[in-house]
Amino acid sequence: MSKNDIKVALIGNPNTGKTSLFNQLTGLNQKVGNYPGVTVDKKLGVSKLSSTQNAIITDLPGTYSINPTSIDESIVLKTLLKKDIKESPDVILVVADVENLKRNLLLFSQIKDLEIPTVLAINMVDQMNRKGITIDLSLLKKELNTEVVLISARKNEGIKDVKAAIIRCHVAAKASPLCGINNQIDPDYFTKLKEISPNYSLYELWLMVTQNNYPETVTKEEKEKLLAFKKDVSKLKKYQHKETIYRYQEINKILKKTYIVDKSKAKDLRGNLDRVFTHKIFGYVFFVFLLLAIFQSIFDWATLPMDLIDGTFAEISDFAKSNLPAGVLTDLLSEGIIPGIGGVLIFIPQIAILFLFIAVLEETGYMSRVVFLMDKIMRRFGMNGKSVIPLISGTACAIPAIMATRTIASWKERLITILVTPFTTCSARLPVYAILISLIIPDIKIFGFLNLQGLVLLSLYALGFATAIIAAYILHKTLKIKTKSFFVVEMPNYKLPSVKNVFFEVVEKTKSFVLEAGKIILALSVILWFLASNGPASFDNVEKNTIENTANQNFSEKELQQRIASIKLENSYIGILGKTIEPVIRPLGYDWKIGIALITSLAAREVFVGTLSTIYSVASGDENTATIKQKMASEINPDTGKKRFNFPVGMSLMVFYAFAMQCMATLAIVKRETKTWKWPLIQLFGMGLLAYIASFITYQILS
Amino acid sequence: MNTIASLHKGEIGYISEESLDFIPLKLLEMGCLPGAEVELVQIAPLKDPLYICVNGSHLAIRKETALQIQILKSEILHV
Amino acid sequence: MQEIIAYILVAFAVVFLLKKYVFPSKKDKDCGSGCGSC
Repeated sequence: MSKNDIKVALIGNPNTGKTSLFNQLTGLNQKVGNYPGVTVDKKLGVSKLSSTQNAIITDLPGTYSINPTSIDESIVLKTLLKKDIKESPDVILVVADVENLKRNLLLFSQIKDLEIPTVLAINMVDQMNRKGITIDLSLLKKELNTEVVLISARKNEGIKDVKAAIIRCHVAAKASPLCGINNQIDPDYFTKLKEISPNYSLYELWLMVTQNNYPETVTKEEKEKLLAFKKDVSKLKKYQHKETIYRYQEINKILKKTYIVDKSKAKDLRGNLDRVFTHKIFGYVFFVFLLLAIFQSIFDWATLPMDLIDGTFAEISDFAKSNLPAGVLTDLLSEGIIPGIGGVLIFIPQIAILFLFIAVLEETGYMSRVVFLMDKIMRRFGMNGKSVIPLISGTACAIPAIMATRTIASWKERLITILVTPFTTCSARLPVYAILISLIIPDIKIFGFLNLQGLVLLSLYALGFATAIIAAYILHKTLKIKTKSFFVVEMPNYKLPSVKNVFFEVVEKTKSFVLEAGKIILALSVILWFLASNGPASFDNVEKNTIENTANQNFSEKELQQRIASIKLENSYIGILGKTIEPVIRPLGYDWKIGIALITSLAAREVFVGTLSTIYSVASGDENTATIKQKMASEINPDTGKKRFNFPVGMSLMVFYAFAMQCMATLAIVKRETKTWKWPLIQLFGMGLLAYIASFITYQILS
Repeated sequence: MNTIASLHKGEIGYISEESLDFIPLKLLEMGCLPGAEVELVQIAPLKDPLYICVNGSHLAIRKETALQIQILKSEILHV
Repeated sequence: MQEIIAYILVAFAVVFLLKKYVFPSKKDKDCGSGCGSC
C-alpha cells in the first residue's frame, strides 16, 4: 500500500452486484479486517487501475440509505463522515442496479451531497434489452454532474471504464452536491445549521444531528451546538421524511429525461417462480426437501475430508512425538497444539459445505422467499423470518450462525435468536452422540428398514430444534424489550449464482471462523494440556510409585506406560478438578473420569471423546473409535459392578450434551455481539441448569 | 379507510398523502412514497407478511406496517 | 530449554484468553448512531 494509492469506498444497495464488482476489480487481492470498535468485517482489496496507479478498495456493507438501521449499515455512515486523511475515501464508487435505478439513486444523491468525488456504476446493463430499458448516458452524466459508467460485473464488461472513471474523478477532485437538498425544506433552520462549522458540508452536519454520529474531528463547541438541534425530535423526523421525498422528486425529474422503460418488452421470471416458491403448500414442501438435501450432503460430503483431517493430525502428532527430542515442549506440541489445530480444522468441511449452500441460496434470491414464508411462524416464537438462516447454520457451528443474526433489525428478535441458536445440534456434538449411541443403542432395524441408531441420532437433532423453539417462546414471553424497528425484506430478482462470488463468500466465512473460534479452541487446548500434564504432587514420584507398585504384576512395557499415563492424569490438576465435581455429577450417573471429559469439553464438545480415550489409556497409535469404544464398553462402575456406560448413563450424557452451553468460543462471540456479559452468562447458567435437571431426571427415571 | 393490507392479491392502490407521517423512514427510502403506485404481489401462506411492489422495489413487509399505510384505490397525483 | 518455551506458550494462551474474556479491549464502544432502532 503506497501513499499514492487512491482510496475508493464501494457502496450500493443490497442485491446490486456490488460484491461481483468488488471481486472483478480486486480478484484475489482481498483481505478481511475488522473496523475498530465494531465487529463488522471490513473487506479491502487492491485494484490496478492503470500501469502506474493502484486503488485500495473498501467494500462497504450493502445499504439502501446512508441513514443506518443496523450495525452493518452504520459502518457506511462512519466511514463517510471520517475526516481522517489516512482513512477517509478519495473517491466513492456507487453501484446501482439498472432495473431499480430510481431507488438506487436515492443513496447516490445522499452520497453526492457529502461533496466527495463520486463515480456511479450502473450494473447489470446486459439485462437492459430484456427489461425494455434505455438510458441516455451523456444526459444522465450531465444531470447527475458525475462520472457514470455502464457495466455488467458478472460478465466482466465495463470494468476498465470504471477504473478509468475512478482516475478521472480523482484527478478532477471536484465535487458538488446534487440537489443542495436541505435548503429547500426550511431555509432558516438549515442556514443556522450550516453556520455551526465551515469544515463540513451542510449535509454532513445534518447527518451528524440526525444520526447522532460525531466524527472525532468535531470540536466540543461544535458538538454542543449540534446537540441543540437534536432537541426537537419530531421536527428532525419530519424533515428527514421531507428530505427523502424531495430527493425522490429530484431523481424523478432527472430520470424522466434520461431513463425510459418499455414495460411491454419486459420479460420476467419472477412472477412464475414466486408462484411456486411462495405457494402455501408447495413452498413449504420445497423448503423442507431442500433442508433435508442440505443436511444429507453436509454429512455425506464432509465425512471423507473430516476423517482425513482427523487421521492426518493423529499421524502428525505421532510423528512429532517419536521424532522430536523428548521433553515438555514436544509433549505440548504433540498433545496440546497439534490436536488443538486438528480440532479446529476438522470443522472446516462441514462449515464450508454449509456456507456453500447458504451462499448459493442467497445469490439466487431464494433466501428472501424463505424469510417471507417463515416470518409469521417464527414471529410466534419471538423471532423473525431471518432467524431461519442462523438456526440452519447452527447445525454446523453456532459461531457463524450467531454472526449471521446481524441482519435482523429488531433487537429483541435478534437477541432471542442469538440465545437459542446454541441449542441446535452443532457438528461438535456429533462425535459425542456417535460414540454414545454406538455404546448403548443396539444396531438393529425396526419395521425392517429404519436403523434404530440413526433414528436416535435424528431425534437428538429434533430435540435440539424443539428446545430452541421452546426456549425462544419462553424468552419471547418473559423478555421485556421494546424495539421500534420494523420488518422489511427486499425480494430480489431470481438469478443464477456466480461461481466467483460463491467461492469468495465460502472462503471468507470459513476463514473468519477459523480465526475467530480457532484461536480460542487452540488456546484452551494448550491450557488443558498444561492442567492435564501437571499436578500439585511431583509427577516423577507418580511414575516411580507406579513402577514399584506394579512390579509384581507382569505388565508389558506398553501396558505399564498406559497405566502411568492414566495415573498421572488422575493426579493432575484436571484430575483433581474432576474428583472435586464428582459429588455434583454423581446424581447424573457420572464419575470423576466423565467429569474430566465434561471440563475439557469447554474447548469444544468433541474433545469429550479424545479425553476419554486418554483417561481410559488407549494406546496412542491405534486411536480409532473401535478401541475407544471397546475401552468405554468394558469400563466397570465399581459401585454396582456393572458397566459404566449403560443405557441410563449414556442417555443422561447425551441429554447433557444436547442442552449444556459447553462452548467457550460461542460464549465469546455472544459477548461480542451483545456487548455485555449478561447474555452469555445467562446462556451458560440457564442452559447448564437445564442440562443438569434434564440429565438428572433422565438418569433417575431410567436407572 | 383502505390500507395496503386491504388490497387483494394483484390489486393496485396509491399511497395517500396523509400516511406520510406513518411510513417508517426506511420504507420511504426504499421507494414507498405518498402518491406512489403500490401493487400487492403476493400474500404469505399465513396471511402475513405481504409482498408488495412499489416504485420498482419488491418488498416484503409485515401486516402491522401495511395497516399503517393508507391508500386510495384511484390515482390522484404523481410523485 | 524445552520447558521454558513450553511454559511461555502456556502463559501466552492464558493471557490471550484473559484478554478475550476478562479484559476485552476498550475499543468496543457502542455504535454511536441509534443503529438497530427505528
